[in-house]
Amino acid sequence: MGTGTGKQVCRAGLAFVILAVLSCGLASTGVSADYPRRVAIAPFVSLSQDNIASTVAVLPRLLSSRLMAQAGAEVLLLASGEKSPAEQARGAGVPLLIQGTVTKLGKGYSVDVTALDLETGKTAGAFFTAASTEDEIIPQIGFLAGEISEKLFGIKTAVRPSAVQPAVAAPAAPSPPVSPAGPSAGPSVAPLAAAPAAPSGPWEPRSIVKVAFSDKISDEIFRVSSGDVDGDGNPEVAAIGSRKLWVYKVSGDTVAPFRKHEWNNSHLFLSVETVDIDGDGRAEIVVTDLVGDRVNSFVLKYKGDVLEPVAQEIPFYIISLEDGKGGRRLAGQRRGISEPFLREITYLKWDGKTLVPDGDVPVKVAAGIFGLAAFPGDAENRFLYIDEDEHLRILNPNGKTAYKTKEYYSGAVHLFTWGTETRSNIGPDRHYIRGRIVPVTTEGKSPLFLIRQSKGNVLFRDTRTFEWSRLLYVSWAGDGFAEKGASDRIDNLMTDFTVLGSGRPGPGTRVAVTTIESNASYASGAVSRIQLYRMD
Amino acid sequence: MRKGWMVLLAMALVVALAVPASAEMKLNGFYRVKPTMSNLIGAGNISANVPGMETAAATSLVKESGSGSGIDTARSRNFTEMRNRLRFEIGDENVKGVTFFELDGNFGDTGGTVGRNQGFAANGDSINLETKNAYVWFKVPDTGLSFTVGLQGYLDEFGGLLFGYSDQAGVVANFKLEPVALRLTWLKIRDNVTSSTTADTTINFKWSNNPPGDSDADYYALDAKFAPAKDVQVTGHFGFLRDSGSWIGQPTEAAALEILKAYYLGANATFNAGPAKVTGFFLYNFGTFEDDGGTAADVKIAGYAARLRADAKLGPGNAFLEGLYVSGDDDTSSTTKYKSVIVGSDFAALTSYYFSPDLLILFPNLDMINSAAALTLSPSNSGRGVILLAAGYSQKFSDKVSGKLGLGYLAADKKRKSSTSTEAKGKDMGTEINANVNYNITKGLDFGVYGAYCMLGGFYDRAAGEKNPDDLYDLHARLNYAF
Repeated sequence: MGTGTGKQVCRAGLAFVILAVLSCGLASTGVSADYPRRVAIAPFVSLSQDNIASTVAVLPRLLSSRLMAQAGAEVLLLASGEKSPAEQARGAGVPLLIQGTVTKLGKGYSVDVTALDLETGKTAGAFFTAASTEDEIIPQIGFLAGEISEKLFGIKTAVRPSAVQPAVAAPAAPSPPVSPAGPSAGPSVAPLAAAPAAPSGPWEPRSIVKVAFSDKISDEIFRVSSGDVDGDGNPEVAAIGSRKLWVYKVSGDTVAPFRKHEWNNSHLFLSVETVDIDGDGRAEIVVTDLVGDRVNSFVLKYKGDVLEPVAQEIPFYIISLEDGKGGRRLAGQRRGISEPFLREITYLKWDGKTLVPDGDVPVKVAAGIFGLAAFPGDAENRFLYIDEDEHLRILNPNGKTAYKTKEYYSGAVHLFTWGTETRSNIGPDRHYIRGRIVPVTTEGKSPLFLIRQSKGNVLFRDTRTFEWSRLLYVSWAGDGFAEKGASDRIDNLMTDFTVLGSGRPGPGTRVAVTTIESNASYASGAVSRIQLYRMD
Repeated sequence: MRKGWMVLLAMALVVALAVPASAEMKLNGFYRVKPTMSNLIGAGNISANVPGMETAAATSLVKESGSGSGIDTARSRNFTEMRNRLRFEIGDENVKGVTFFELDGNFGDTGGTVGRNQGFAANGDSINLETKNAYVWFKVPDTGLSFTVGLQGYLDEFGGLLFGYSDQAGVVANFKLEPVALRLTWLKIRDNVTSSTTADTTINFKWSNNPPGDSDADYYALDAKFAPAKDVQVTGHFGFLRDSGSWIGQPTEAAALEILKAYYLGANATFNAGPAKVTGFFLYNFGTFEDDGGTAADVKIAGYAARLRADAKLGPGNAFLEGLYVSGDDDTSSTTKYKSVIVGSDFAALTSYYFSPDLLILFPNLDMINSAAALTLSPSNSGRGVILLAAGYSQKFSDKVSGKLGLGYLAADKKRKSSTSTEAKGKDMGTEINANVNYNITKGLDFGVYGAYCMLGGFYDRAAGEKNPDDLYDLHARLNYAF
């Protein structure tokens, strides 16, 4: 090898190094800081003459839960004591200390927060937000948490509420109660749409509009259900990712974090339902869980301030099924030895200890219970079903198809696999957890159903790429389904929805919709939200 | 490659537009790239099960082959393979047509030529599309009857011992008559299109001088599956294989006989036992090799196989334990009996594919592409039979990262001496430890690193004066995009 060649090699190596450095630089663009996500929060100080001490005292706790939820941060809440907050934080080995004040100027409040880098002693960041009333302070904590998450931890957030909300036509969101074990108020967004006018005559939903959305959830949420879990009269929304349960509280147009639980990697959640199974007035959370190759569903009950398992190892895939008479019951389907679903479906009841079979559901499906719903008021006792290709079907009780749409009601992204890769396939069979179809029939009206629809790639279906999503009302006209109204299309994928409240929906009924942000960074992980819609 | 892909895509779009409105079209597949470094590299489809005491053959394990035969274990080699599969499915829930293509080769092999398993060299442009499957599946209206007709992937009831998802042409009928599910199979393994003499290795359509019906091979089977309890499933099996021509794995005992009539009687069962799922089978193979019109005595077949496997959740992960036994025949000079099992790989390489132990060196593995090499690809082990013990533990470490640790032990059931001088020193073939770590980059895209080390047993010890082969290893990575 001559000298010329050596130079070329050197140049190539130099070019490679420069390219690598540039690549690293570009890759890190958008991440403004990379502090470890461990932080201590000192008690906030009130600089107001007014007596807002009780509100100020709870702010560190609220900020803590939001940092945990939005950034997955480990947060240490410091107590007032002999040692300074910095000494306490250093003693605990936490790299960052957050200190805050609440100041009243005129009629408004300013919440000011600084983050101290305990290793260097320098300020890592300063943040502030403003509120026009004391009631508005709590919602603004979510904004602060988003700023801190982004600036200190590089957890980028999308649209957040502005520091001072503009006036809107809808009533202000009430402050939700604060749980002793954690905050129940959260960074909800101001209402996006005005409340509807009261309907005249029999009501039939024609449109559905977005009114609010939650903070970011660092998970791929694919299933959601709602019920009054804590018995306070406000519904909670239970949303699941693969192995995390996120419970949010809905108060008016506020969707705020309430509880979060995480299971280990051996779990794969498939579905969640929120139903009062024991008749005590509080809804239990029923999660269909796959552990290894076994279905081990479980029930959580809110006791004291925590969600406790009250039944486990229930060998059924479980859904809440319209019973055709206006009520809802849990129904289950077993896994077979050589097939992922046995065809038979059974109603389930609570026997005081666990869920046990309680009679057969008069329909059989081989492709899984997910996507099944009864057809209320149908003279032939038929069922609605979103099949494995995500067509909508009407099934006779024997499981045979009476009608099948050409249209796709797709959008399923979560799946479990069955079998193994072989020499004759392209991998294990994939079984997607399809969406729901929910009857929203009102008395004296023809059947009307709410369903999620996403426009996906038809040929390369398993790439699970989608152009848009929407919620859609469809009605059965006797010889086919007709579209009766829809929400606006959104770019992000709607993964599931749940109608809030008990009984038949009416004007103003809220629908919680889970979405995955499709424009989330390839490398930054999943981001989901709970969106609040209103039926009009 | 690019041209081929464009042609395929154009075809897909044309077909998608042409199919009836009620029919659907799906396209699935994967792209897989597998760089490998190993000292067990053969020419592909290699069963390195020649005892060390025998004269070295091309598939023998030797220390250094020099100018002789054998796989040179003292030398590591590296190469990169790629495989792309495309599976088109057209139809609805009542009728479907499936066409399944494959392209694969080795980076740098050849380019601009015609032939399978190549085309990844400079400028690409090879004609290298393989058809794995082309079949139609349909239901008979208002019955529990369905048919699969054509070239299809076929799995037996014995974990791939006979047919391990091998691609076979035939007709398979499934009939559900609750609580029993029946499967009737006819596979045409050969109809005079392959050579009937070992000298003529060309693959030609030779009906002009050898009409259909001569020298052909058929497989017939009836499987009956039922569930006596909700956590138990049992399948009974009867199969018959008739071959009127010679074939690649014909045992020495029956080398002069033309007709094979092999019968298979077996059962498998799967049940849940506490936290474990247990599955097992027993298979008895009997029949005869016969002289077609001659007077040579029949050679009777009397082989059997059994398997037991348990899968269970263990801590945060999943574990399995598996044992497989296939009877062997000790003496090729005996001309009255053959005591091993006639398996699919006795007809065509890799027809049998027993992959559930997930071993990288001892037994076939699904990651094998064209360089497929293992101590025993065929579970009959050239008539020696096998004793296989395997265990594995897999666990997810995070939402993105998972790993697996595996162990395996393989021995020949019999040394199968053809003469005293060629008797293997031992039955132990090897003990393997393997591990892998996989990272899910994004949905459908995974990257994994795999490694295995195999301590060879006495089976491979060479004769006095020759060096024994080195222990074997395999290191490979796998980038896989499934869609």
